[in-house]
Amino acid sequence: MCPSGGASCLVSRLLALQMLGAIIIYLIVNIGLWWTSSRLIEDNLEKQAVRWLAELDELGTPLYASQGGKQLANIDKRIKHFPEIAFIRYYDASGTKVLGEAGEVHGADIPLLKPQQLERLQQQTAGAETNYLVDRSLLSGAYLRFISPIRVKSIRSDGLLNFSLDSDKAEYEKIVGYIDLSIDSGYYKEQMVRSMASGSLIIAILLLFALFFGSRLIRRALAPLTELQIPLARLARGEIDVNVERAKDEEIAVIGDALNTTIRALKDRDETLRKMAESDPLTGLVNRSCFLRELEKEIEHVSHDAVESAVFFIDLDQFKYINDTLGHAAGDKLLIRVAELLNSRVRDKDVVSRFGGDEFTVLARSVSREGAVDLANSFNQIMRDMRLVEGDKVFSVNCSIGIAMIVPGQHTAAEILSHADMACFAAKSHGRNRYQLYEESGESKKEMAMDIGWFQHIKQIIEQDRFRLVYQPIVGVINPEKECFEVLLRMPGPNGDLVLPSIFLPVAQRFGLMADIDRWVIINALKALAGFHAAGREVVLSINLSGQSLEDTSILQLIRDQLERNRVPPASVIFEITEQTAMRYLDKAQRLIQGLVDIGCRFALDDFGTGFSSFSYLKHLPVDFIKIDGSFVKNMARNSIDETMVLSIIQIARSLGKMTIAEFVGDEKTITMLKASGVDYMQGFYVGVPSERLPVNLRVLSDTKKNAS
Amino acid sequence: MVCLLMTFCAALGGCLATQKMPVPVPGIAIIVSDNSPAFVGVQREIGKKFPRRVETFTLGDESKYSTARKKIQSSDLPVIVAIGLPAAQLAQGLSGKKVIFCQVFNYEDTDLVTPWMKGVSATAPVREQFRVWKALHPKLTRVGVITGKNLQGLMEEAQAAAGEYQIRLDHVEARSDKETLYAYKQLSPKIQGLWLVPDNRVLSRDVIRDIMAHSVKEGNQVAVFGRELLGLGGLISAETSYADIAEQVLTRVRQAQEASGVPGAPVIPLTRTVIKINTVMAKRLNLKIPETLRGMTYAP
Repeated sequence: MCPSGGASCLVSRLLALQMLGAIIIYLIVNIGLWWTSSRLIEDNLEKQAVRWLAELDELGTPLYASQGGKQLANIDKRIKHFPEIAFIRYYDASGTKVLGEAGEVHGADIPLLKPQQLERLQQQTAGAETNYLVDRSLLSGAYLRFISPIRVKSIRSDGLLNFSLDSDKAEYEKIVGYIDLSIDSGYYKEQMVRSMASGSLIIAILLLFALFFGSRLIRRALAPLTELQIPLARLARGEIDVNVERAKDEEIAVIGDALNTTIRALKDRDETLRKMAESDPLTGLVNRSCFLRELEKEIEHVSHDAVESAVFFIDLDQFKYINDTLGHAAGDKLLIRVAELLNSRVRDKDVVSRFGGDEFTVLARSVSREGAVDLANSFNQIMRDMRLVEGDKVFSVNCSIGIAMIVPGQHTAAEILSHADMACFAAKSHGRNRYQLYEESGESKKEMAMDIGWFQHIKQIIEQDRFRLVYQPIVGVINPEKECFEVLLRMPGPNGDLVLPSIFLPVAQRFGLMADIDRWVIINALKALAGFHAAGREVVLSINLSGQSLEDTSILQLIRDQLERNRVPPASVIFEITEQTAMRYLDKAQRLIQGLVDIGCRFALDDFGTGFSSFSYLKHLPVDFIKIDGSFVKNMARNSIDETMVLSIIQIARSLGKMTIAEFVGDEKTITMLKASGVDYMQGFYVGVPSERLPVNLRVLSDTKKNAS
Repeated sequence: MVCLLMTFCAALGGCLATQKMPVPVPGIAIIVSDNSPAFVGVQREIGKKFPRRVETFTLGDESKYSTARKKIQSSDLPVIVAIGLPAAQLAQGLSGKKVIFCQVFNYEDTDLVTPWMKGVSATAPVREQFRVWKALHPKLTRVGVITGKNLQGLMEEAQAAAGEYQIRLDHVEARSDKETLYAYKQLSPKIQGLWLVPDNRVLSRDVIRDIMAHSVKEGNQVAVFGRELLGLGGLISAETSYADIAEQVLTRVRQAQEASGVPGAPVIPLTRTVIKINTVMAKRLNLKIPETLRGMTYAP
C-alpha cells in the first residue's frame, strides 16, 4: 500500500500513531487501574478496619471488665479466617501496658504504641467523626495500622429521669484503653497485582484486537486515497489518459474530482498545444512537421497494404503580387480561402497542410494515379473559379501542382516531397495553373537524381564541415579605411571545384537545409571574425540569413552564444536577409531583427527594390542598412530608370536614417554616380572580388577615392 | 347501754386523737438540681401539697453551688428537700439541717444516707413490676438485671419481689456501659427477660439502643424504666409519679420535723407506679394480655 522508496507513508504513519495511542491508552489504563485499585483497597481496608475496630471493641470488653479478662480465645477464633489481620493489641488506658494480643504476627516486630501516636490520636479524634488513627509507616507500609481508643460512656445522673434517646445532654466519656489493629495490605495488594495482571492482559488483548481492526479500518478508510497513487503516478509520468474513479467518501471524491478536472484541463491544454504545434494558425491546416509525420505513416501504410497514395505540392501563382499590392491582410485572406477550397475537395481521411508561405501540400490516401490526376484537375479548376474581392478589386489566383505517387517501399517522405516539389517546379516551368505528375523515368528522373545528388552532397558537406567562406569587400564612401566584408559561401563540388551558391542554394532551399547552412556560416564566420580581430584587423562582417532561419526560433540564441564564445563585439557583425524573405515572413523578420538589434548587431535588408511595396515595409523594419538590389545598380550608368530607382532608394533610406549599400558596382562611372547620389557603401567586383583571405588593400577604391578627391 | 358507752368512748377517743396530730411544719427549703422536668415536676407537686412556707433554690451549673450553699445554710428552715443528685450532694455538706432527698438512684454509691439525711426511692415499686410481668407472661421464671455496684437495697427488694412470683433474678454488676452490653450478651441466652434498671453509671444511650436491638433480635423481653423505650422493643415500662414522690417526701419531712434526725429506713419506697404494656411486642412474643392488664396497654 505504501509507495516503495524512502518516502513516508500516510497509512504507516496513521498506524504508527494508532499504535502509539494504543500504548499510551494501555499505560494510562494500567496506571489508572493501579492507582484506583490501590485507593480502593486502602479505602476498603479502612472501612473494613472501622468495622473490625467496632467488633474488636466489643470482643475486647472482657479485658476491661470488672472481673477482668485474661483470655482472647474468642478474638483468635473470630479472626482466624481473616488472613489480612496481622495482629491485634489491647492496651490499658495509659496506652503503655498491653492487656492482650492476638493475630498471626507477634513479638518484637511490631513496636508498641508511642506517646506521640496517642497524642496524635487524641488530636485527630477530638471532635472529629473518625475515631481512629491510621499509621502507614509500619513495616515500610506493608501493614496498615489502626489505633482506636476504647471508650466507655455513662448517662448523667439525672439522665434516666424522663429518659429520652434523643436528648442532647452530653454523656460522660472515659477512655479505658486502646485497640491496636494492623492489617496486612500486602495480602490485598498481592491479590490486586494478580487481578491487575489478568486485567492488563485482557486490556492488552483488547487493544491488540482494537489495533488489528483499527488498522484494517484505517486501510479500508484510506483505500480510496491510496488508490489515487496509481493515477497520480501515471500523471507524474506525463500520462494524461487517466481517469480517477469517484470515491464514495465525500472528501476523497472532491480530490478525485479535482484530479479529473486537472486531467481534463491537461488534456485540453495538450490538445490545444498539439493543435498549435501541428497546425498553421492562419489557415487552421496542419503544418509542415505534422504533414511529414502523416506522410511517414502513410508510407508505412502503403508498404503494408500495397495500395497507392499521392502527395500534391501546390504553389500559388501570383501570390506575391497580391501580397505586395493588396497587403498582408489580403494575402492572409487568400491563403485562408485556398485552404478552405482545398479542404472542400478532399476526403476526411486526406490531409491538407500549409507547407510554408504560399505552398500547400495534400496527402490523398488510397488513391490511384488516375484519381490523383482527377484531384489535381479539380484543384486547378476550383482555383480558376475562385474570385477574391478586395475593395474594388476582383482578382483570381492560379496554382501549380506537383504530384508524386507513394509507391510501396521505394521512397522516404523527404524524397516523395522532393518529387512533388520538383513536379510542381516543372508545372510552373511549363506554364502556370497546371499539374505535373512526377515520373520515375525520363527527364524528371534525371532532374530528380540530380537534385537528390546535390541534396546528399550538401548534407555531406555540412556534416564534414567542408563549406568555405569567402569575403567580399564593402567599402565606405566616407570612411573607406573601415574594413567591412560580406561573407559569401562556397561549396566544394563533387569534383573538388568550388560551386557557387546559385547552384546549390535552391536545392538546399527545397530540401530544407538552409537553416543548417546558416548555422554553419554563423559559427564559422564569427570564429573567423574573432581571428581577424585577434590579428589586429578591426573588420566588420556581414552575414546572410535565409528565410528558413527566420523560422528557426533557436537562431537568435545561437548568435548570442557564438558572439559570447568568440568574444566578438556585436557591433562588428551585420546580418542580412533579402527584402523578399523579410516581406514573406514579416512578423518573424521583425522579431529576429529586433532581437539582433537588441544584442547590438546591425541589420541589412538585401536586394532592396525588387519588391512591389518595399518602401511601405521599410519603416516597419529596424534595419541599419539597405542594400540596393544589384539589378538597379548594375545598369544605372546606362538606364535612367534604374538610376532614378537607385536615387529614390537612397533618398528614402536617408530620410529614414538608414545607410545604403550599392551592390554590383561594376565600373568607375557607376562609382562616380553613386558617390554623387550620396550612397554610403559600395560593393561589387569592381570594388573588390570575393576572396578567402582578406585583401591587404583595396586598390580600386583607393583609386576611386583619389579620383573623387 | 354498752353501745352508748362504746360510742361515747369512741367519740372521746377521736377527740383525743385529734389533739395528738403532729405540729404543722414551719416551712421547708427545696434544692432543685436543675430545671429538668423530672426535678421541677416533683418540686411543683411538693409546693402544691405543702401548705407552709417553701423556699426553692435551683442550682443549675456548678458556679452557683457556693452561693446557694451559703443561702441555704443561713436559712432558718431546718428541713431541706434535695431533688436530684447534685442537690443531694450539696445538701450533704450543710450543717444542722435535716435532708430528705429524692430522684437520686444510686444513693449508696455516694454515701448520701446519714441519720439526718434520708431519702425517697427513685425507682418504681419493684413488686408491682414483677406482678404485672408475671401476669403477662406466666411462664417467666428467669430474669436478668445488670447494674453498677452498691445497689444492695434495691437488689434485695427486687430479689424478694421476684421470689414472690417464682422468678429467679440473675444480678450482674458492671463497671461501664460497654461491660453492660457485653454482660447482657453473655447473659442473654440464659434468661427470658431483662429488667433494665435505670443505673446511669453503666448505661449510655448507645448501649441502651444496642441492648434493645439485641433483645428484639434474640426475642428477649425487656422491662424498661421509660415509656420511650417501648418504642425500641421494651415489653413493659414502669414509671414513677411526681405526686407519689412528693407525698413520700412530705411524709419524711413531717417525720423529720418531729424527730431529732430523719427517722426510718434510709430510703422509703414509692407506693405507686405507672405501668404500660407494649402491645406490639406482646403480640410479637406471643403473649396474651390478660383482661386485668388491658388498661395498661400501649402501642408505641
